[in-house]
Amino acid sequence: MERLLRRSTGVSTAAVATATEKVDEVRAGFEALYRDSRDDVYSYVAGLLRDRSAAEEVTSQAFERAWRKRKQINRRRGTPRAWLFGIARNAALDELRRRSRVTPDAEPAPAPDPLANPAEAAVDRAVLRQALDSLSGRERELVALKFFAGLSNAEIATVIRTSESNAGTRLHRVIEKLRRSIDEAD
Amino acid sequence: MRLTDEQIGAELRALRETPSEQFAAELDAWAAEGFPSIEEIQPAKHSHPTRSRSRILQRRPLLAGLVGAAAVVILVGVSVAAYLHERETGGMDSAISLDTGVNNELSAPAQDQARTQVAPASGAAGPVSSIPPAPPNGSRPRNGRPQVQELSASLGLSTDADQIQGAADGVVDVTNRYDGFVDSSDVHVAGDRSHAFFTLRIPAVHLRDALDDLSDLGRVTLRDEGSTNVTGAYVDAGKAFRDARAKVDSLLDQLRSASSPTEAAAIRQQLVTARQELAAARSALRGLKQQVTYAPVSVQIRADGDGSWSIGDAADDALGVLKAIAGATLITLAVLVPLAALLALGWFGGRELQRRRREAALNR
Repeated sequence: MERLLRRSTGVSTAAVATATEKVDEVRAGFEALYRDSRDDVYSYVAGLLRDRSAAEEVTSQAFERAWRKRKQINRRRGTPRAWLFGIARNAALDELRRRSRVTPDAEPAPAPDPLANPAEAAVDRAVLRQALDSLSGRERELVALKFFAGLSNAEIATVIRTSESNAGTRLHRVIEKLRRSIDEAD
Repeated sequence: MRLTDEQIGAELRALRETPSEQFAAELDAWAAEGFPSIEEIQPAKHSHPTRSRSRILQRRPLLAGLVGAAAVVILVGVSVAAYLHERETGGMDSAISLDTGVNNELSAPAQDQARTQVAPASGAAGPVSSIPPAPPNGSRPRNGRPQVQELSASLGLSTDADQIQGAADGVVDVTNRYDGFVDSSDVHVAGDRSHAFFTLRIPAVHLRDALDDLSDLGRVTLRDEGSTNVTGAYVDAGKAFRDARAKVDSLLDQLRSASSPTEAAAIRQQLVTARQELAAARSALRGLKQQVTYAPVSVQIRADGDGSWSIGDAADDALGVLKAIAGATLITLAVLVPLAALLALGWFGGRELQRRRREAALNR
């Protein structure tokens, strides 16, 4: 912008000020999006890849790509979060493809249990993880988008390119499947 | 106990992984710098030539603008050049193609045939040389007989009023250069009403070259070339001549063997008539050969103004340039639109393929 200002002799001050405000607005908007979504993007990607190191790499890539494309944010096509998660999804799927070509799936790293008192849990976490592992990639993605990233059904629909009702239906089926798996384990 | 959706959701949220403090701090620092690309941070590890080239174009809209401007300049330049060429030649190309299409007797083989008539014409005085010429090698006879063509042409030129005299002199020069001659001429120099009319006879063998040189003397407004097949008349004239000659020879033989003065006088009387018929036949044949050998050419030169450039001329030129630009644009679009459609199709196809491949990763 500074370079633009130096070159733009003869351009009205108001026009330069307007352009500056617009650039600042886009940047500020992206920074807010980053602050709100950083942990959610990581959680979604980690839930999809089940690999902390790869999740960090993909999260970085996703934000870098999003920063480059920040001017493409279009609220009429969905929320900025949905747009960001669309980019993160592409990066994560690229990583999944790459890993499937290079090596077989690595053994998922055991995740730390965030609860201080496991006894308070309504369900055995090990059973829940086992049920999660039994899900297909598409089903696990829905869980990651809904419960790890905290997206609404409308945002999920935008990310996976389907209708909101279809996204809700598919999500309900996944929860039912998890419930059955847990019940069977009990 | 059956778990509710809310309970399952809460348990799933409890499994949510969060980034480590170190990674979060690094990511924040990176964000504070404006997310410099990975290639910029680690060029050796992440260098990707194709990606780098595409970024050059992405980050240099000025370059793309210059390329676009250059394309526009080339388009306009080509259009103006095409218009000026069209103006200089007076639409000659199209006129010639039309004439060629309508009157294909003016094609090269026809001219070759016309050229064959030159040699016998030069020696047409004697009875031996009056025999119709044999077809030359490479000619295209019809029904086994060589064709004889009589060529003719009309040329209309326009020039500035003050250049009429010079153009008229040029007509005479061109005629002399090709061993032709001026049948008649009328040169009138009077400002905007100046004009010059010529009737020329140009050797048929040089007709096309002479017309090209005459066309250079002004702006061509009309160029018309024609031909008439005179093979029948030529054959008839030759036969008439041979018959008349044979009759004379026969009478001379009879005269030599005449047995009485009375018989000799009668034969001589017939011989006078036969020789008159022979002379007439020879004259007719010679005239026909003259027509075939020298093509009549009429040239009209008219003044089209005093040479100054008026507002009307400017408007005409502007309109002409616009037409040329429109034509060039149309041609360009005819090439670019299908190309762009193909590229768009390929782009959308590529995106769809990439999307399907990504989705397939979830099925594994």
